[in-house]
Amino acid sequence: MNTLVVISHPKPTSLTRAAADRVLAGLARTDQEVRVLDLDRMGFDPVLRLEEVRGHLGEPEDRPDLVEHLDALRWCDRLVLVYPTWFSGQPAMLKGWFDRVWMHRVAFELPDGSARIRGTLQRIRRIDVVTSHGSSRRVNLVQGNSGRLRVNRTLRILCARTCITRWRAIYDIDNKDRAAIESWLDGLESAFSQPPRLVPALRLPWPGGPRGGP
Amino acid sequence: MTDTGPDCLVVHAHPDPASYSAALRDRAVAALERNGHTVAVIDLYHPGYRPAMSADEHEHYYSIGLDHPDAATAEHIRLLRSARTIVFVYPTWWSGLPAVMKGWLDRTLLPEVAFKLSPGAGGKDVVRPGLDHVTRLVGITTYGSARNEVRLLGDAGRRTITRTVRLVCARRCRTTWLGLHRLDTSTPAERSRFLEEVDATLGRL
Repeated sequence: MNTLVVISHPKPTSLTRAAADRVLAGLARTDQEVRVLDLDRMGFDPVLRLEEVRGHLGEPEDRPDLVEHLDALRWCDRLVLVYPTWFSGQPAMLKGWFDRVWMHRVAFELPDGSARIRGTLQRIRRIDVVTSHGSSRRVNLVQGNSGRLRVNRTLRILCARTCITRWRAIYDIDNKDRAAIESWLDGLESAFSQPPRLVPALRLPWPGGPRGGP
Repeated sequence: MTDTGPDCLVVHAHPDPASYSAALRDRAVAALERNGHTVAVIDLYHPGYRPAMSADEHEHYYSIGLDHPDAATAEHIRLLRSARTIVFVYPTWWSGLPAVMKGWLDRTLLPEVAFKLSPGAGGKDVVRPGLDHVTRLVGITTYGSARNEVRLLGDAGRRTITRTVRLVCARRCRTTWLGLHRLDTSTPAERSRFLEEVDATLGRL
């Protein structure tokens, strides 16, 4: 299984970074092949550019500066996102990675004559999110959980029809003591050292499925 | 809160100065001004604006808002202090704000600016609104998807503004949402009708 881990946090000493290290330590004990995109460390530019907006139905070959990211996204069967939740959502760095890298022909295509995009990341059968929230679970509910909705709905529907998402979050971090944080980190390492649970591909009684899709 | 300075703040994000989004912004600004408001516009695609929070900004997150070292962000904070109305104009990408606008929230809506932390019961910090002079939030956006699809996907961008940002504004802050769906297949007539709707709605504020 090909696992892509995308990390976003500006500070090397952050909890997010510690969580990412534990996730990678867990994954290293499995037989999964792992690639890492550490966006801040790579100096990724999250701002979608004018030429990318004008050519939003362009080809991946037109974006040589994104080649490493595009290859990794097309390569993976499992996506792991590790980031802090800020203002209910992904940091600008990670949001910009979606804006720029989840592009036409890689993440979606627009069939001729249709107004509705179709996902093309059928390889991806599982998305894991590891995130920290400053506020409590209850406050997050009131705030609307927009980051979670984006992953669980908007991005998930571009992946395999049976793709599952798993949310591993720690809430209210400013009021958590060291022991609670350590136990969350330990839990991450042990969870990621297990073989991931997957939903088997749908077996449909006719080839190609209901939409005749890929 | 300060009494001097523009009472409306329009935050816009689109890289193309000739885009429909820019037309929406101009229409919104004109409508607000016609109604006697003073308006400041922040265009986030201004060259050199950096949306990702730096390590240094994160390190000093709780105090950096009091005297921000980045000139552009310091100016944005000054504009926030006089604003009674904030208008966000953006194209919806992957159910949300363009990264450059999400980054503006991350970097500008700081402690001591947008919210205040004070010790509460049981030694836990309590978050209180810092933008309690903001009584109106407006979102003007374009969607690629149809209205029912946006609803099914949860409209995360709208939630970010009307819930998450709304919670740090005045208790009685009202929200107004204007969205044009299926932009890519929209007709010129639909787009011009939506511009009129923006004009009429903001002209009443």
